[in-house]
Amino acid sequence: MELLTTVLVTGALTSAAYALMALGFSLVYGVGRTVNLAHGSYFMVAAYGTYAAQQAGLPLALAAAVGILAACVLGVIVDFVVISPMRDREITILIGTLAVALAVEAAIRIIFGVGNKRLAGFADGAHTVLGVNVVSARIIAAVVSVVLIAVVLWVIGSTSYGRTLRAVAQDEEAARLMGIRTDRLQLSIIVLGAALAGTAGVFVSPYQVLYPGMWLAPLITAFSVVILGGLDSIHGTLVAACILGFLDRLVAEALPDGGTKAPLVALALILVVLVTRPQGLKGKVLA
Amino acid sequence: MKRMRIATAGASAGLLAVLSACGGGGTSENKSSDDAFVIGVFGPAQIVQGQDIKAGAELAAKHLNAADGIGGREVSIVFCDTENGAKPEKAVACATKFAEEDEADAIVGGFSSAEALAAVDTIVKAETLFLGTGAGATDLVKGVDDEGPRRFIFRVGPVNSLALATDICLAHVGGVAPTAGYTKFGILSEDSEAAVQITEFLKTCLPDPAGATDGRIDAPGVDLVSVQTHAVDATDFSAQFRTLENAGAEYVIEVNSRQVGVALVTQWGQLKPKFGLGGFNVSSQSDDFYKVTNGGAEGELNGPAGVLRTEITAQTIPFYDAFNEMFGHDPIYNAASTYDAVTLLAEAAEVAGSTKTDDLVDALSEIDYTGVQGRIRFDDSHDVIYGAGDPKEGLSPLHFQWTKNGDRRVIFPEAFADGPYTPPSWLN
Repeated sequence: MELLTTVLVTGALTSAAYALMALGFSLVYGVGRTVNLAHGSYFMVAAYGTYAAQQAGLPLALAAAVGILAACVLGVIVDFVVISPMRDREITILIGTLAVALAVEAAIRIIFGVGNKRLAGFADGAHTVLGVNVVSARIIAAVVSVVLIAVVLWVIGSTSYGRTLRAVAQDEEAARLMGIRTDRLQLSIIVLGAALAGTAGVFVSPYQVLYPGMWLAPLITAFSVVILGGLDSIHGTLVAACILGFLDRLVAEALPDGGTKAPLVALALILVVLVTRPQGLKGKVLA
Repeated sequence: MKRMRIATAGASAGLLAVLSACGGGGTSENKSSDDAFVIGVFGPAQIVQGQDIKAGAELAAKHLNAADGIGGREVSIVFCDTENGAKPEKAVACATKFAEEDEADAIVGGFSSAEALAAVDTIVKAETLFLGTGAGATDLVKGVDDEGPRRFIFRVGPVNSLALATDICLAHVGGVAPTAGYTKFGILSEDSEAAVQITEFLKTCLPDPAGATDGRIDAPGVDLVSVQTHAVDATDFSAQFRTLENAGAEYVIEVNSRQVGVALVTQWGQLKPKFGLGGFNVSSQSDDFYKVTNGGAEGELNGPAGVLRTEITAQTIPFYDAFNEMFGHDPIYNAASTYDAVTLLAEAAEVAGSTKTDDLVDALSEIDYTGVQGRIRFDDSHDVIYGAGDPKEGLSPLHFQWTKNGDRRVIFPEAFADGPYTPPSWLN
């Protein structure tokens, strides 16, 4: 019973964080068919941006806004410099966005140095949830994630902007012929994706550590989640985040030395799904 | 005719270059006292471990050049970046560059065992002196003796991985356990080759210290109740903490060589499990670790560490202060070992009365030097001698504990201890 409760609580928190990291990645691919390897850089830039703003004396909420804004600005730059000019060349975009990620890492190293930094979160310490002791910053990250996911789902499902997004995702050319400014829409979704990844950076980083190579782990997490869920499916992304989040904690808690086995089990699952269902669990456009 | 002369001159220059490249006996043979004593230094410039290797060498060069240099020759440091991750192939390229382009008189550094081991064959082939200052792999000095082809290799610090593991065991069964009354220990180790080697040794040493060290550690063993590992990029340690707590561990020895040690200690401080924590955590050696973990490090023990502002020798505190003044942060372990390596060359040159490679090798083999890390002597395989808690015998690394105020207090070895181990406040 204790194991079940522990996995439920920690699995839910982990799943929420995974979903927040992956949602923007999925949106950008769903609408623009773009695999953006600079996604982890938004996470990192937001975290470092918040850190810098805090150091400059801004209160945390304002510093977080600055950090997320910095991620959005990077998103715009990536779109103008790499994605838009190479829209139809997927491999070139892959290489280009990877180059951006490496350049951002180098820039962070030059500006902030190589040492570890800590981003203060909105809460410190730990809280007990259903008898399980968990780090407070995780709870806040999970709450933020759930709220943002709800907002994104509502926007996509119930607003005219969302309908336009879905139209472009289903058939960009037809949408363009109907008078939709698809270039602006693509830019808006890039900025939204960067903002989501940046928000993840601001809320997940307080229980991790800031260093110039920190962009890679969230990128791998986001990539794993959307591959499992289906690159172009938001619902698939959410389902996959839950599967991987709970699986990670189940293996970590239940198996001897589970902490080191969890990534392996997750990768095995992704491999099995890719072989049996290459489009992922729910590989449909903005389904 | 003119074309022929040019061709002949070119061929001659080429032949000279080839002969020069093939010349044995080290690169110091044909240099005069007017030539700089060139030291090639390598490590990853992107991380503090590499930056401090470079910094340690530069500070030593500055100090030596303010006096008589090395054997009367000005010291010149040439740094080569092995890039993030300390890439072995880059280390080989650096060694080749030092030997062929820079005509280095000696090579110093190597942060990781992988890069040092990769570079060492190239260095030996070039018959250049190599003073390792970062790698702990026992294989680094494998096959080394005073006369053989690998005689050019020395390890100035840190102590080798076996000695390092022995030192962790010694500090805990001989220091922490009797002081705090702990009898049940756990291990929490990252899943890396270096950490696994240390962990495997600790698994035998903690329950039976004398048996595991051929009687070198004369202290009673402790119960090892659980051994847990985590991925090198882990972000959640709650499962391991729970398992260790449920197994009844009163104290957990951590083994972490990477950034993951920051998140681990931060979460230990936040979740406050019912066990003390300490051991080998490279991240914890940074002076801002307490701040980076938001005070989570309070009560954490760390070692073997390099130097603190502790009078290990008369040179330690002046080095520590000078380093801080020049680079704006406290030196980590390989800054101290690199500083010692470069100044050791000056001492060897003085003893030998020469800066020729073979003369320096002979002098270093017999040297007994007081550096900033402690007493430096080499065994028959040119490995720095480990003092096992006795600084008079050899290097006896410090183990310190983070206090509630964010200060570091040495708790082991006894000769340098500021006080005994104290459990974190929530366990009192």
